Amino acid sequence: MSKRYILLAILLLGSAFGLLMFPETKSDAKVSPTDLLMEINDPARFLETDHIAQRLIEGDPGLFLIDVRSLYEYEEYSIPGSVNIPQEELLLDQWKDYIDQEDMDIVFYSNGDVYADQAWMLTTQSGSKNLYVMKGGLNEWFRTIMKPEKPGEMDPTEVYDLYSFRKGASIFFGGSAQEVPALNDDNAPKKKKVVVKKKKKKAAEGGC
Amino acid sequence: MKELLKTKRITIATLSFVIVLIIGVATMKKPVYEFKINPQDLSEQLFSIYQVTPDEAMEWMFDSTMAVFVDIRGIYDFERGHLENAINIPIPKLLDKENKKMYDMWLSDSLTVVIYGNDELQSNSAWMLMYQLGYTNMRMLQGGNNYIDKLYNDELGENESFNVEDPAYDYAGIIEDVKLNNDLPQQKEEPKKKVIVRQKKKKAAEGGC
Repeated sequence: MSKRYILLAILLLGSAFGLLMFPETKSDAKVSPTDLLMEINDPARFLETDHIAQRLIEGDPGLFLIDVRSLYEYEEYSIPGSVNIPQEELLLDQWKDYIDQEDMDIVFYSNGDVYADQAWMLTTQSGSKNLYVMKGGLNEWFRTIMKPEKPGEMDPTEVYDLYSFRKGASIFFGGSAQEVPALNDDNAPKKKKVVVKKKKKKAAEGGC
Repeated sequence: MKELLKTKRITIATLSFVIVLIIGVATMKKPVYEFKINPQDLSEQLFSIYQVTPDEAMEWMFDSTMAVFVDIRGIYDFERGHLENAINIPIPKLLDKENKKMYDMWLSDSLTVVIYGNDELQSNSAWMLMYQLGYTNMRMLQGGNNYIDKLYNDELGENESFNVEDPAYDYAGIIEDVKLNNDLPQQKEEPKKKVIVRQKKKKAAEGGC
């Protein structure tokens, strides 16, 4: 009888040990690949430059711009009010409080939008919310806000409204409100200066 | 007799306990796709990963031993025009079960897989996801389909770069210019021509003879 008890005890101990040895599945990722794919497929993360400019002008305290370029580029030029966190530093613990919060909309930007989108991908995986990417990046920012192009004469009034908004925004952000000059400006005929030299009259010298 | 019944019960209880355990382990669902590279590691190597340039793509397109092209745009875009020999896997279908075999095969053959969309931005997140799932043979196409189209049709602008991260303007320079403009508005205006009228001095009449 006791033999059977021992056998059963060994069986239970064995299964307990087996569970202990069970290969641990590594899943420190807070977002699963399929959930991440759904987020990727959602274009809502892209914000237009006009939208961002509007909110900056209104002084929206819920907007937080992060420049993911290098410090050097940031010092050369950055959008007023933005903070520099180079992409390779984004996941460091020191920035965790900035990025992992729910009160503000964080907008990443770089020269284009690929680096900003990469920053978005890296931070989204740690479960942070309210992360956005500035569509077109600084190149688009300059094309639309800082150097807005004057609409053609046949364009509808909305386009003109947008243009006047951009022109105002441009002045607000310290840009030029001037139109972008046409490309073939160099070929425009230059006015020739005509210099007419007047002959000096010689002072009358005495006769004889 | 009572003793025997007790033993039987214990035996049955233990065995059923073990059976439940075995069934549980056996039916445990293993996710098809799992992360192999965490964001922290990827963040460190991101800049050193070499992406495919449009020129390379133009070359590789016709040689299936060099690379496989995966078009992640929708079916509609794909039908309208795509790279030669490209396979269409729209983003929502990227992690479908039946694709895994194909991905694994490419990986074991260490074949370069070029993911592309209309532009680099469209392919970026899809590429990062696949790379993190362990498919380190995957790359993305800089400039995307739009740039290749222009390259093919010879419609590229003079200084058009396939790298969207190249600054298209001299940002600091523009701001500097404007500041100068605002501070000294008069200086930039066309200088007015000053007309100086000099009065001729009358020379003292030199005497006649």
